[in-house]
Amino acid sequence: MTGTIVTYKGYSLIKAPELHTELLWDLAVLFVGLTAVYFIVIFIFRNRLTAKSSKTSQLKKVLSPMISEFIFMEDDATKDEKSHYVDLKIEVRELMKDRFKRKTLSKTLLDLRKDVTGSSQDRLFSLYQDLSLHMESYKKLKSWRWEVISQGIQELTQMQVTDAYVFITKFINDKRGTIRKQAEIAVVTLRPEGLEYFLDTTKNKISEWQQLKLLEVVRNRTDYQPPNFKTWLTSKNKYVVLFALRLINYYDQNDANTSIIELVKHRNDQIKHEAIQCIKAFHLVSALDTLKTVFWKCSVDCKIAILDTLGTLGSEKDIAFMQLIEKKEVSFSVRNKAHSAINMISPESILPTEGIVNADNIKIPADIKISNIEVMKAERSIEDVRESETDVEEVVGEMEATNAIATGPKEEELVIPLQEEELDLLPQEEEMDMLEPEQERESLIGPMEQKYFNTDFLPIVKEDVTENAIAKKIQEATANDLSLLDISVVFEEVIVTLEDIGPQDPAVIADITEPELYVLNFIPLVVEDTLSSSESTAECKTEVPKELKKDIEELEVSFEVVMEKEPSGSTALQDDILDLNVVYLEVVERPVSAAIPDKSKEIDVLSLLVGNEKKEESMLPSILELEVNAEEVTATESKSLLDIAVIYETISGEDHIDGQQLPDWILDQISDPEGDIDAKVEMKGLEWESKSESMYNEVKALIRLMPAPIYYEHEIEETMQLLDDIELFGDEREIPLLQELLVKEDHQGNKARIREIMERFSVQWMNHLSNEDTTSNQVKSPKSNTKTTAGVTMRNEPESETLKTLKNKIQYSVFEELCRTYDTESKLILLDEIVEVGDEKELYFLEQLTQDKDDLLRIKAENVLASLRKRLSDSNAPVNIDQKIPDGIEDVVESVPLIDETDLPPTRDASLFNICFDVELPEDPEGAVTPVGPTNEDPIPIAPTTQKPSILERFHRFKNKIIARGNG
Amino acid sequence: MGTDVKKILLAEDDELLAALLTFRLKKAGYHVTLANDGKEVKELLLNEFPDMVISDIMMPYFSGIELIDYIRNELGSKIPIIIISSAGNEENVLSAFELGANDFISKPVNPSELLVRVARELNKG
Repeated sequence: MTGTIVTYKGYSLIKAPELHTELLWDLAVLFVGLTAVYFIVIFIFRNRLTAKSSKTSQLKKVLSPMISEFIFMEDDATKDEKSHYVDLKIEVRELMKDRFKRKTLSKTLLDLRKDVTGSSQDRLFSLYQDLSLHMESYKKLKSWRWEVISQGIQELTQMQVTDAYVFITKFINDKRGTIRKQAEIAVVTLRPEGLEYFLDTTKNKISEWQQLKLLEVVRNRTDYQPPNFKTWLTSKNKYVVLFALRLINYYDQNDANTSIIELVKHRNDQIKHEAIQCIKAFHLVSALDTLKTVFWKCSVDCKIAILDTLGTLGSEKDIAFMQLIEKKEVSFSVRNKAHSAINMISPESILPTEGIVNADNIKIPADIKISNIEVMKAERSIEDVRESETDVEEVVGEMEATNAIATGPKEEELVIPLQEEELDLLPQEEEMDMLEPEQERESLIGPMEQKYFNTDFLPIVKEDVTENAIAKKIQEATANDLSLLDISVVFEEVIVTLEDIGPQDPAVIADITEPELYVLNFIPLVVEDTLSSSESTAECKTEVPKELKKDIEELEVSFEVVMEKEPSGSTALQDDILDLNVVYLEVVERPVSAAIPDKSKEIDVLSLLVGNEKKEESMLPSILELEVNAEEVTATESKSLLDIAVIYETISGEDHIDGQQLPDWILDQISDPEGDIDAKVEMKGLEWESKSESMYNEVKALIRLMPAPIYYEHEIEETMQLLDDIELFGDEREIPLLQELLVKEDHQGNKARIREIMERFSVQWMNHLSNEDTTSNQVKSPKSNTKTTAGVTMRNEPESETLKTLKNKIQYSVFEELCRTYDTESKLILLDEIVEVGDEKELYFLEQLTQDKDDLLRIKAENVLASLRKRLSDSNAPVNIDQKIPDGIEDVVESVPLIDETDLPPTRDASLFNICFDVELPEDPEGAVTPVGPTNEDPIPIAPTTQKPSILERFHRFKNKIIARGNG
Repeated sequence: MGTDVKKILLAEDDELLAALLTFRLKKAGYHVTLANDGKEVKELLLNEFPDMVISDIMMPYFSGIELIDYIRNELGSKIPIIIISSAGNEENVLSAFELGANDFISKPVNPSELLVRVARELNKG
């Protein structure tokens, strides 16, 4: 045993943890302490609440008589009562200083509001606001806590603080639902128009509960005049639409029928359902078709609602639709509703089916005899049936004869398709009612379908008609309270009698009227497959009424006309016609009636040009005009002259198709001068093509004659533009600049133009000086006769009238340019400005204006011309030499350099300074300069007034004046 | 107190409304005794002998229906009784009428209307 291994060792598997008793005691103490604290806290808080409650209760006891006193205070109170009232007011004001008391008072009033009504409630509301308790509610609206805001809104709403409406409306679309809903109710409560505002502005969902609450608020308003809620049927918010529909329904606003019917097509089922309810409530029979259309895409609830509406508003013609639903619809509820709807329209059309036992299988014991009365009834019924059979036999015989005459098919052919139709229907029915026995099914469906689907009874045709079968039918009919004249019996007889009536019976044919014949004509079309097409067509032609015949003949004739034209034209012609139609529309839209003839003239010229090349140069202006006109005509589509040919072709071609009278210019172009117009109208497509091609070549040749565009360098272009501006707005003061440009410029064309402008300005200046000389000849010294202009010394000589007129013409008035684009009113304003800022250059322009067609302008121009002449003559008049120059001014005037006036940038070319721009001031005999400008009161040295502002400055001032006048 | 001053016992547990109606009735010239619950009403009925009782239906200890039954059947009194009830409490109102209540007024109360009804009932007697 020494080798045995001891496997057991004395280790315990579970070892009890060592617990420190001290720790346990510590924990016990801790929890006891916490419990004690907890109870103490609860005790304290409870006591506080109790104290507060009792305090509130006591305060309410104090306040309630006060409130009663305030509420029931009357105007005819005694003096003591009034003085007591005043004391109470003071007392309440004192109470209001304490926040707790103020809150309690507010709460008391809010509570009391629920208990009283009538005038007492109104006084309560007034008291609430008199005591400024609503200000507390306003403060609550500013809180960041949603419950406080909500409470504030509620208080203001309950106490009817209508002024708070504006502050509450901003919460209508608040993101916090509670506040939003509270605000919605408040807005609707506070003002009658609140509901309208709410419906207009809300962007959020309006819950069902909220709708009920709002409706309750609106309903409880005594003075509420509901608006026309159809306005909100077009809202983008579907909940608004839904609510509006409900309000329309509630207030019976049946003037939005079309919108309601339209909303039946809404994708939202709730809206659809509500619209259906409105249709039902307002008896909108016109909506039935729409209801039937949308039925198949509705939810089950909507389908039931539609069927309910159809049952209420529908007529017997809607039963077919409901029977279709009965067969096609999967939902049990909908099918049931369809049954009930059918029965609503036609009571007891569908009889109970569930759990009904077939009475045929019940075996009656032999010892039970049927009473004599019942047997007699049955016999009488059979006789009635036979009589009715005879009557119907005659009628149906007539109908059959008519069919036979009109269409030709035999009675078997008439029956066979109908049987097929019935056979198609039967399996469907069997599938739907597989669980029902065959006999039960027949007895169930039979009576209803007999009445509305006559074709359903056709399979019965093949049954043998015996007296037993008739008796059975009679029994069923009496059981269902149906008349024996039901069509099921009638159709059985139809087949029996048809064989006996020949289609060629002349007596029957004589009785048939033409309209009947017309109606029955359509039957062969149904069974067309069984007949050869040739036969049926032939028969149709023979028996068709005369009026109908005519129509058909017409159709055939028109068809032949189309067929005849087709082979005569080529495929190219067809293409042309198609193209012509498209372009023709565009041409017609434009007012081309006036423009096209002008063009035709141009084209005439063109043709001549092409024909005679020697005249090309002389006719160039015409070519240019052609280009301009072509752009006008083809502005919408074409961009080049090449398109003219296309348009020309289309216009001509269109006329050819319609056979209308062509414009003369086209006729001239496409025909020889002696040609017949009608003959040319009938030009075929190939001729048109060749003609248009020749035109195209002509225009192309003309394009080659046009000079190619010249593109200058950017700097040269800039210089050209600058010269344009200078020529337009500048005067002699621009000459230094022009000289500078002349030195710098390399381009010969620009150089020539600069010289030309300089020459023009020099002439203008010369003219100006000569005018001055003539007016101030008496006071000027002889030395002033020599002038230096552009480095050339010129001598003033007396001018002839012709020269003067010529100079005037050369003078360019800036106002003339402006006047070209202005309207009459602006021109008149402009003329006023000419009086103030104009000079000699405007004289010629004004003279031209005096011959204007506009009377107003002409008179004004005459006045302005007179005024300007007077002003110019005054300014050129000799200066009063007795006027003395103030001390010190003379030097100032002399020291002002003229170059500063021109405000030109310093030139780099020193030779430019050789030009003398100094204007000689009029001098008195003693050599003193005429005092102008600065005086003693104005010691600032300024430029003399004789130096006028430049034309650019004048233009700038004038523009500002115009703008200022425009702005009033 | 003059003999022509009518005594009205008002049974209403809502202090505020009770105070308001008391004030109004007093102002109209009636002598009003207020009771806050059914027990108190019974005591006062025996002690005060009021000319009319205006009672809320919902009260502690004894409801308005029980009170009417007590007055009509146990006391055998025919004093006018006007019931105050909240709207939508038609069943109780019908019961009250079956037990012998003379009139009914719904909350919220219109004090002026109450006065008219009180005057009418008192004048009948």
